[in-house]
Amino acid sequence: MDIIKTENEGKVKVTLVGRLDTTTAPELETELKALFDEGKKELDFDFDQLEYISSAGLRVLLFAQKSITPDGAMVIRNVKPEIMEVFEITGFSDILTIEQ
Amino acid sequence: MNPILSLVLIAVIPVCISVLLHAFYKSQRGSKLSKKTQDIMTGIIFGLIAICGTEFGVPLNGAVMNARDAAPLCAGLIFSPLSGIIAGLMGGIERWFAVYWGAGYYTRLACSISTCLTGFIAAILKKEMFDGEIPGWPHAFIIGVICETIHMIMIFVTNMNDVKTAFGFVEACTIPMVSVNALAVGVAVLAVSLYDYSTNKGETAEKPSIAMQVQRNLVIVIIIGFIATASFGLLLQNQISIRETEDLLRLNIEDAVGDVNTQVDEALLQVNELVVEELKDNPAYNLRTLCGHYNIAEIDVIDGNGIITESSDDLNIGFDMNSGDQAREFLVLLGDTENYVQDYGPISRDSNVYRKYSGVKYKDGFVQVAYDSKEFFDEMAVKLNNVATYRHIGETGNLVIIDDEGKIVSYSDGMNGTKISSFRMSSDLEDSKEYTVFVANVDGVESYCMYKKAQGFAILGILPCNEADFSKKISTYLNIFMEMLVFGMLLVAIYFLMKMLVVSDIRRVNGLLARITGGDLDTVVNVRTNKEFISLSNGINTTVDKLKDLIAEANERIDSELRYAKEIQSSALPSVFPAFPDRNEFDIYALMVPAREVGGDFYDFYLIDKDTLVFTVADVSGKGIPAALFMMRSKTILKTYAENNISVADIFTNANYNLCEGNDAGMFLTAWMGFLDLKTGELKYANAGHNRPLLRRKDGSFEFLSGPPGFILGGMEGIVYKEQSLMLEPGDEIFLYTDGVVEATDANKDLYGDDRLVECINAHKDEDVMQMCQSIYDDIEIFYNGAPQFDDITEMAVKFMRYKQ
Repeated sequence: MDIIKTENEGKVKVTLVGRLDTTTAPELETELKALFDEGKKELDFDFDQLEYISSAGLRVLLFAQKSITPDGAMVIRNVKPEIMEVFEITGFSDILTIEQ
Repeated sequence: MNPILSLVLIAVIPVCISVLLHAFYKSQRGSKLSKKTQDIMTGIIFGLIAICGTEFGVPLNGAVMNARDAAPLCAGLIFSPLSGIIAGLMGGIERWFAVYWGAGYYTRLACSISTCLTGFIAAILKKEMFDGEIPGWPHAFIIGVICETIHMIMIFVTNMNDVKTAFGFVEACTIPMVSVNALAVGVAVLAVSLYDYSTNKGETAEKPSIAMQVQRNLVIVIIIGFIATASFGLLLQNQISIRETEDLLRLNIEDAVGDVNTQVDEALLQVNELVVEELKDNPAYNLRTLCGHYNIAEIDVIDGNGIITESSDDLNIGFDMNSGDQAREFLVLLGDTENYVQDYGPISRDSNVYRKYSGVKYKDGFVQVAYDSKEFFDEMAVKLNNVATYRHIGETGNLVIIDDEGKIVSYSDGMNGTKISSFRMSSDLEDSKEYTVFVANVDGVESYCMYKKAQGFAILGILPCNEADFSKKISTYLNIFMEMLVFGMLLVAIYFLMKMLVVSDIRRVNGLLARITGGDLDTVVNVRTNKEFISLSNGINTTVDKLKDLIAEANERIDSELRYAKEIQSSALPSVFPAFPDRNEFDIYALMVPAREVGGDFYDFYLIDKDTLVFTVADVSGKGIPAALFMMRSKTILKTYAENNISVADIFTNANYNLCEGNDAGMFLTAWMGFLDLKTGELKYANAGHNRPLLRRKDGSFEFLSGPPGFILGGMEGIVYKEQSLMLEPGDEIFLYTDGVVEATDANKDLYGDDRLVECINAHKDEDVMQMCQSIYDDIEIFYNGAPQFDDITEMAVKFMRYKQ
């Protein structure tokens, strides 16, 4: 999986390409931790090229969501139907801010 | 203009052009040119510089100095092998034809060859020794020195039959040309490196290779060795040369001395015999008259007792010859000896009076005659006139005979003979001892001189320093050149030997090590070229073997621990079927296949009272030991709450709260839990983010059970779960599973998917619960066809058979 980060006025856009599963989730977790350590508060995920998400991937998203402070924000955009289905089944669609 | 200054100016050209060209090739416009174009362009430019070097040579000490060789060296060492060769050939070939428009003919062959050779040397070193990189300036400088040395040796080699002239060129050229060319190359390389350094700030230079390091250290050792052997050689040559000069002068002087002695002795003896003849004819001849007649100083007649009976000098009469050392020598004439001549010296009676005596037998005694100095020298000057004329010392050395007043009596025909004062060495003569070499300026030529006094004359040998020192100088130069050449070759040889013996083996070891660190622990390092590498290879192999043992040991331990963990986990799941052989109201079957030894999926079912069947399927995020531990915890919590007789929604709400507590690892699970009232068929259930179950009504097909799922368990505190319910009729059946089923992946990364599952389950809907679960699992296995699976697979089927009475 490729993780592409671009920053714009303190807002970090994270584009994920490929599969977010057990093997790739730790990589994303490390990247996100680094961003939070830098004091980044706003995350903007682009899931347009994300093909698959496993429970390990969900765990990282949950970690990210829980790390967002009240003055920050985390948005997920361009979620494909198959990923959306996972979000809906697991109830993640209720706690994540998903914008189509 | 000062010739040294012009030479330096000429040497500055390759330096400037090197930096400018280098900068140009680094610039945007320059870097657009192809490598080949750059190389050829550089070669031609430096070829032209080499030609300029020939055309604008600087005359110095009778030879023409040039900085031609610096150009191919700069081109080859800084730019590329090809450039070096082109520049060398251009410079060398042009030098060959340059004789037609004024260049020196004598060194034509040597200069042409060595310039071409220089280009090739630069090319080979650049390619093979510096791997295409720009060498360090000390290297460049040393290469410059060695190439110019080769140039000098070539002058000798191409003029073997005329070593003297060749040496004249070499002596004049060596120091200026070697230093100018070597400095030009060294400075050019330094300037280019400084340019690179200033433009690439922050970029640290690569560490030198081991071969290069050895070579660098060797240079220091070699320079010390070179200075030591060169000075020792110089000292030795000097000693030999002085000894040879001394011997040559002495031998020649001794010859001349012999000649002088013979001539003088003969002259006096002749007079003596004439006097004896006169006395025999007329014994009463007045001796004083006779002295005047023969222009001699003294005539004595000695009787058989050694007493002077008659003399030209009355004072002598009655003198006993036995009473003085000088006189006593003549007493041999009283024996068998016919005549005797004594060297010119002080007389016995008065040591201030110098005379030369001879004696010839007369009656029973002898007659003694003597020259005094004035008469002697006048007479002898004529006699000795030719002694030195045809004598020479070495090729250009001369012999001079000087009388006691410093007047030259005889001299080699190569000289102008005047008074010794014109040689400006009369004082030297007075200061020096006989047979001792001293240096004096003779007719404007520095010369080694030596003298010996004989018969009151000084016989002086003169050998110009140039001739005397020639062999010393030539052997010293040749020694130094050869040493430089040998040291240069040694440096190159050491570099390649190191590369061959050490570096290639290190690379092989590194390659094998890379395979080992890449995970292939069965790689054997087998570099056995020498003792050190055998020991290194063995060391690595032993280490790897030890590691393999340790890994196997660790694996063994982990394996056994995992086996235990697996047993514990699987024994925690109800696995005896039929599970409730005494109950006929329902049929239940479940299976769980972990992707690894232990998994995060689990199922559970139990009767909390005789009318209520509780069944659960859950999936913990992650896999392996952490998931298994979290799974055991979750299973216990869910069962504990289930036995508390509260609603399924409350069970999830409480369990969620409980699981969130101290969940630092951020683990969570999805779960589906149902309470089936066996008397009414009512199924109350809650879904915490789990896959929707499939439901089949009696005689119908399996369809997904719709309804909004709740959030996962353990993810976030304060979630409130909702309970849903539906009524089951006898014959209705519900199928639960985890995402390991629908996300089973084949080699093409295709997922098993919902559609395939529905199709498969409906194909097997008429089988009993156990058979159906097995059939679905078999279908999944066929689907992924051996491709590795990353998720546990769990299935559970519950069939409501009849109402409980």
